Amino acid sequence: MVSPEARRLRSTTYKLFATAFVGLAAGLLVPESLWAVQGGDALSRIDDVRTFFGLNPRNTVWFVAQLHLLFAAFVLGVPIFAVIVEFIGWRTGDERYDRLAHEFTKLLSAAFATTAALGGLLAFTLFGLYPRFANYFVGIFAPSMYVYAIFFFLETAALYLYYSSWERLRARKGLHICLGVLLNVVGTSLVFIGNAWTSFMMTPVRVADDGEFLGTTLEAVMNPLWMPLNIHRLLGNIVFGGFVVGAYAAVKFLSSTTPERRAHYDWMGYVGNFIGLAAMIPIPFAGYYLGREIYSASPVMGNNMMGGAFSWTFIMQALLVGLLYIIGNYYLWSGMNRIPGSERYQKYIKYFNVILIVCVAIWLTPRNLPLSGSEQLALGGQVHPILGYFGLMAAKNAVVNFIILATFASFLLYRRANKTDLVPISQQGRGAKAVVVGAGLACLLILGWYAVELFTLAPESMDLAPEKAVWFKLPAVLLVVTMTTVVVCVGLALRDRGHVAQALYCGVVATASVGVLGVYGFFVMAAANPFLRQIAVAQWLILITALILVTAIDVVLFRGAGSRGAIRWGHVTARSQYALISLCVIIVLTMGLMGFIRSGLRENWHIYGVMRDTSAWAFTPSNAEMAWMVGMITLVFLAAVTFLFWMVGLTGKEFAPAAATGEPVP
Amino acid sequence: MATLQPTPPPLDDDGTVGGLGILPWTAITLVGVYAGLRFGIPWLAVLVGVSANPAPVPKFAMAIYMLCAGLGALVYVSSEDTRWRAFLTPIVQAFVVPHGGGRARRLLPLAIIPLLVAWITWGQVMPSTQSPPEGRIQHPGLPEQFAKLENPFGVLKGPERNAIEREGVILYQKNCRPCHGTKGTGDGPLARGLRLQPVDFTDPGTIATVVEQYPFWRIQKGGIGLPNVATPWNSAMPAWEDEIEPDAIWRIIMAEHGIAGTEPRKPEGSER
Repeated sequence: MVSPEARRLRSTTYKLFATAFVGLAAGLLVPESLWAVQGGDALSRIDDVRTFFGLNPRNTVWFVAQLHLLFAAFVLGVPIFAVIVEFIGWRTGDERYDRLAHEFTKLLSAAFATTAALGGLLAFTLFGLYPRFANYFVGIFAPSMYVYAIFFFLETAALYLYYSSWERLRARKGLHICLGVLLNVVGTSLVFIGNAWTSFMMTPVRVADDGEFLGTTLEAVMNPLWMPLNIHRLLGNIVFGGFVVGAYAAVKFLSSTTPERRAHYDWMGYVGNFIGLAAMIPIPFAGYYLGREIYSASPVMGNNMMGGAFSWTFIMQALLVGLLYIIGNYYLWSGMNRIPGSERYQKYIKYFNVILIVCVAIWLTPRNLPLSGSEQLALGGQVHPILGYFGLMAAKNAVVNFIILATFASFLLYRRANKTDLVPISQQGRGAKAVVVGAGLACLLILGWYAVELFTLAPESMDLAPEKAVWFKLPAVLLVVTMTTVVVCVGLALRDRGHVAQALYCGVVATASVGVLGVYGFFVMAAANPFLRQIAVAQWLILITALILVTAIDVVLFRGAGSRGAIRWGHVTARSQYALISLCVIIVLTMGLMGFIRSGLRENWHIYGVMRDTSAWAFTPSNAEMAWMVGMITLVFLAAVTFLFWMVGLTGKEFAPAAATGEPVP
Repeated sequence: MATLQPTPPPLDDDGTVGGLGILPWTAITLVGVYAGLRFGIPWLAVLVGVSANPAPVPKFAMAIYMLCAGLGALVYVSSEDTRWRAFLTPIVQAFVVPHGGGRARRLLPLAIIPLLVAWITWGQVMPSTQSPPEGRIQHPGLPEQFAKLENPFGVLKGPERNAIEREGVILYQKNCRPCHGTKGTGDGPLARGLRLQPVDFTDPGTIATVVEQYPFWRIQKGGIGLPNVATPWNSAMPAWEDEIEPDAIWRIIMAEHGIAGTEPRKPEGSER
């Protein structure tokens, strides 16, 4: 007797094969003339560009490259947190973490082959459609390509070994985790090699005026944008992996019929969102660092990025990233419904909500608003006298810091939602006190280092007149004030005033990093523009110390605390699950959009300033065309991932429910 | 789907604040935001002295801010189950559930909503003499030939640099002051005759955000030399290439920064 489920699967499989067969037949029936267009060339002549069966070659490469990158981001991002989750499971002895890590890895193995296939297709399209560029490029990077191939073999071996040895090495967990670490080392190396190629296209080095490459492959790899791009992509991959996993869990949750499955997938979705949001905290700063390096490498590219052709694209990026933060927080707040005792903190949510919305609104405001004729006349110019300030970098830096701080505060609320009967820190052991003091010392070190940097900063090093040194004083003094607050807060925490210490430090950080330095940034932009970079670093460092110190106090403050009841995993609204799914869609759109910006900044250059794209397709696509392309890529990617995950579900064992305990996730 | 709904925690908040339901409060908040944008910000500009007249918030900004406010309201009311039910209940009662208020009471919103939609639609499609809003790129790409230029006086320091700046100030006062003003604030004596005010150099979003080559391009080629994306028809800047020598333009640029108290943007050291 065949079960209805099996019948359904069989029917779906038949339909799938039938569709594939029809597609194949249709492809073969394409008129021969279309294939003939792609005929070979005389050996003496290498084309600059060829079309892809009559289609725009630039869009073809764009489509394939972006799809490849999306799969690669997933395949390289997920192992990072899979190993961390497995490690937590190993150390805490909680089986749920281990099962979760295993499930992550199962998804990974399904996506890996597709990533490789798309990578191959990308290489073929580059060689086929842009032979002159590909020829030149291989001449520079051939050795690194061989190394890349070797690393790809290693990655394949490490991934399948890691996945398939899960049960076999259960008794030797340490060894298995080492395999996971190896997988990550190899995967990260792969990303770094690939990044060298793309970053060289933006900031080539050691190239003579006639285009001859004078350096070594290693010099080409270590171009100015290589490391900023590495950092940004690494973090981006983790965010991406987290949100894709979150969406997977949400779909599973919505289709679950038993409380155990719902509890498991609810928890998995929470972990996915936690990973995504946590990795998003440093991303804006990594992006700022990348942008700063782009500007340093080429003021033209820098100007195009923020004030020129891509300025509206960056407004779209602000919309998407702002939505990620808002929806991520929304999911957290919705999740508080499943925690007994959370009603005590509901009243704070509206304040966080207002902060997030106002900050995103400011982030979205362009410097040049689209104006009608009458609006121009009423304003007497292109820029609104108040809203125009929201379009400047100083405003953007300030609000992004505030968004991160508000998101962090949401996490704190979530963590403490069911906690009660706290154990005073003074009654806890030395270890607990050492954690607070250690965190305080780390913050003092970070703030102190940068305060010294600013106090000793020479204006000449930034090509500024000596009298401009006066602008460096306020941020330096503010760092010292923040250091003093660190000492006070550590003292308060040790005297059982942990809540006060947390509130005080968050308040000081918001005032210093967002309020004072945010407004000060406008003055610095005008009077000592190059110094704005240091202001941005100071703002971010102050913010980071809040994350370190307040988290440390929080961990100790609620150590051994009582509970008002276990978290009711599985008891969450369907709305929150749709929020998780939308996070996945938005992160895919964001990756596509940012890919367009990074690559598009080169405008009509294959290799910026060295090899020009002289074809008819060298123009920068409009934002409308970009939106179509990115939308299409997103749809194809999500469809492909859904298909792959469905296949994983076909081959995998049925989920074994475990007792859904109510312990919170770190 | 009933099993998906959690048992709501015993919240103190029953969905009412000061006797009003969450729905009226949401509406009041949105109206408040609208009023703040419509009247508050324009008059704030006068109050803080950045504009002589109320500076209206452009429609585009109104739209994005109201969308943000609407999103914020939706996020707030739906992030907690009791609140969400309290928000939805009057809507459901008004449209779906037979209510004690009777048929007329339920028909009222059904009449108001189409009228509101009709009013908005009419506002969008009615014939108008206004030019449509133009998306504009503030700093279009610096042409390659200008990006490669170097300020010949950029390396000078001390008295030599001051001397160049003084020469630049004289050139500035002769050629630029009538529109850009003595202090570079865009309010020279001829500025009032222009439809759009000349650029205010003390504004941190103008010459301070671009490299020196950028104003060189703008001075030489003027508004007419802007690409279409930067709406050249919205600029009265003349092209000075036939009037002022390149060396004199560099002097003027240095003087502009000196007068406005600004610094040009400078890329950090690049390996290239």
